[in-house]
Amino acid sequence: MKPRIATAARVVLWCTLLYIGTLALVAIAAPLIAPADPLVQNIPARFSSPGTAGYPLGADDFGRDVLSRIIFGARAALLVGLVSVGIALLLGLVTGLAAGLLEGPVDSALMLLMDAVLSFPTVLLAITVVSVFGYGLPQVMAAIGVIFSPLFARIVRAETLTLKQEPYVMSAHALGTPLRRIVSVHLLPNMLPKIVVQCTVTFALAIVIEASLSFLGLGAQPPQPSWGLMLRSARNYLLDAPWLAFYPGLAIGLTVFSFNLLGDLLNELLQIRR
Amino acid sequence: MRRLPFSILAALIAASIYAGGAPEAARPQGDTLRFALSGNPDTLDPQATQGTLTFQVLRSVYDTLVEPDHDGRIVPALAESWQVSTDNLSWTFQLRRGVSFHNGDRLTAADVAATFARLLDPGLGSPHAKEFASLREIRTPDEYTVVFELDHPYSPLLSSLATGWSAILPRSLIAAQHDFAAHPVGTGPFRFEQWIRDNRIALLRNPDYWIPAVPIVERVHFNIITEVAVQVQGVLTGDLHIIDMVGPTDIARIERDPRTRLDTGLSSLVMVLAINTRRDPLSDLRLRRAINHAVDKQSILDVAYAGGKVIGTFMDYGDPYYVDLADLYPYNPQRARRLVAEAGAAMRTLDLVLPQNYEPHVRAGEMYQQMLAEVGFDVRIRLVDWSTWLADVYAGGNFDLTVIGHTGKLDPDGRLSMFESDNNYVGWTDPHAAEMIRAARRVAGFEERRALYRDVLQLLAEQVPFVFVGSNYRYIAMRENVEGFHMDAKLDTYDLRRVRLR
Repeated sequence: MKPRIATAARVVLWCTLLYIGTLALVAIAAPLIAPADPLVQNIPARFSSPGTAGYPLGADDFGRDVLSRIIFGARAALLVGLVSVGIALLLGLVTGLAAGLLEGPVDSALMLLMDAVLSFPTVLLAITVVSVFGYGLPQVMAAIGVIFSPLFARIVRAETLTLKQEPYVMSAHALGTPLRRIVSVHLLPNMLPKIVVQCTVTFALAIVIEASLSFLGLGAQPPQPSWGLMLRSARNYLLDAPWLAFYPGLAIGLTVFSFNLLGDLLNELLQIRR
Repeated sequence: MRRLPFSILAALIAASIYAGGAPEAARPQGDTLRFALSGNPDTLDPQATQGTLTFQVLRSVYDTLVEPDHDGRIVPALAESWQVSTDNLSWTFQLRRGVSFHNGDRLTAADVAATFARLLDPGLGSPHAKEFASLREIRTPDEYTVVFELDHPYSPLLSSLATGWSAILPRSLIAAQHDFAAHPVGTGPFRFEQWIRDNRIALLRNPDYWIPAVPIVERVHFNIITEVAVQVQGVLTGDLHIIDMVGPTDIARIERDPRTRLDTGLSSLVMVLAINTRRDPLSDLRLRRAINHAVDKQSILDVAYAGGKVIGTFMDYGDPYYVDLADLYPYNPQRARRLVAEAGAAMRTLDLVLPQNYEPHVRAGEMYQQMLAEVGFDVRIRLVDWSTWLADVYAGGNFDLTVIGHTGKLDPDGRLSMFESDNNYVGWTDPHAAEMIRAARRVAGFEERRALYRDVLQLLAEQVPFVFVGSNYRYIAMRENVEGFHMDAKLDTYDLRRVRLR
């Protein structure tokens, strides 16, 4: 039984990696790939249905090309994922290492702070942050980064505490290896698998939250192409122009699904290996 | 699966029988008009609020001394007639006899005097007190005569007396400190019955109303429904008779259905692209004219505001004071580009601020951005929430361009008095215009006032502190069996007195 699951899992893994890779390429090369300028309005062509000449996925309420907007929207989504996960990872690493290495009151204080952040409903906290610092993608990325940093801090702290007890770390310490070297050679590489899994899952969450905030009008600002923003304006035309909601919805769904699946598969693979 | 306890089942069955049967038998369906109200009013005290929702309900509970007719002219209501002295300082109203309040009191001049004494009482803090600032005293020479004595001539008084906040309240209840906010008592066509907050306001026919055989329906239920989709569904299924929220994409569906019809009319909103004339480079009239020529107004109305009519100045179409200036700045990108080149100003990025909660304005803003980009303006959109817009843009003047709609006023002074000085959000004034605005307040004759306002409106249009885009259509959907409904576009209220359900 086991090998068959592994094979199936491997196929799925390659599929998700292929999707994510393609998405990344599309995002990077958006200006080359997109058939039209995502911002240019063409009022006479508004609500053109998918397949109309020049509008493979239809045109929106201003006559803008939906396909081009989705392609440029991938940029916003991936950028938000990368930057906010980067911020969360950095903050989480620093706090987690500090808490795990120093222990005692520092540990208690830092973890209390992290638990406090975690105890708020994520989207609500993001809305609060964005309302205070202003609407826009940079604010959204910073907010998501801060909000998700406790997830990383917890993992890093727990791993640090465990690894610290490992004989090879203790002997390195006894031999007088500097702390910086212990962290970079012994601690970080050994906690990497768990961090990678957490990164992929958080990436998916970040994309969903960006889409939600943009849908609420707090994230990406018009006329910027963003999947969540596209859904926001599409909700007015659900009965008459369903494709306006369908394609950005599909893009969000597939992307989030892929990252979640990737996280799960990596988690399984790494656990099997242990 | 767990089974439902018997008691719950029994309760469900009992409830369904009750809901399905009893009330239907008690009163015939056709006699209750069910009207969708788009929100919960903040209060039902007509003197204590500016909220339209309040007046949409209270128009049926109260009367005013005079009222606008269907063409916007002021006609007698509780006052049968009125005269103005030659110096325009004293306004005498003869009250209608035989009018009674819902609590049984007979309407007399003392009620009118008490009503305005309450409105001007600083303790109440009415937002409308300033409209009666010219009032020196109210005299009541006899039971049915009221005289408003003014400090200085003030022609807009008559329009103020026709609006909802000039509703006449009974003196006895004012003296008794009655809670008008929760339980209104007036002389209107319907008596207040019940207000279940966030759910429904129920009114009952007033059999003693001063117009014979009016009103016609037995009850009015204002069902409070804030979602467009729910309102539309309600009128399509017949749960509601009249709704006033219709999305652009619902229009076709309502028109297609033989059981519903659509009442379409121009709203009295003037949609504008406001230009901050205090700031460079927009203080240059040539650039403001360029902006005006760059905007395809009909396209903005059709796409962002679900249809409308282009108007060229700060007065809604259909107003007796309207001046047709719609063709002053036709859509002409070439001319706009020429004007921009002529001005030759160092162009910086313009800050277009949009009120985020008003989606049509945001959509219009996206279109302005593109239209202005085509003639050489670099415009960046900034979305703000409504309170920020009011504080930062409307009060603070922190913007280059913004998009908004200005509501209608019965008297032109209501729209134009803000240009008496440059203390308005676009920072525009003109000594000649200011003088005419002041003069129009002092003269009482319609033709004289019209001539003065015509010049003010012409100046406003030429000087372009705003791109006056137009008025949008407003849509009211109703069941096909509803007759006699009238919406007052100026006041944004509903006259339900002659509504009949066939």
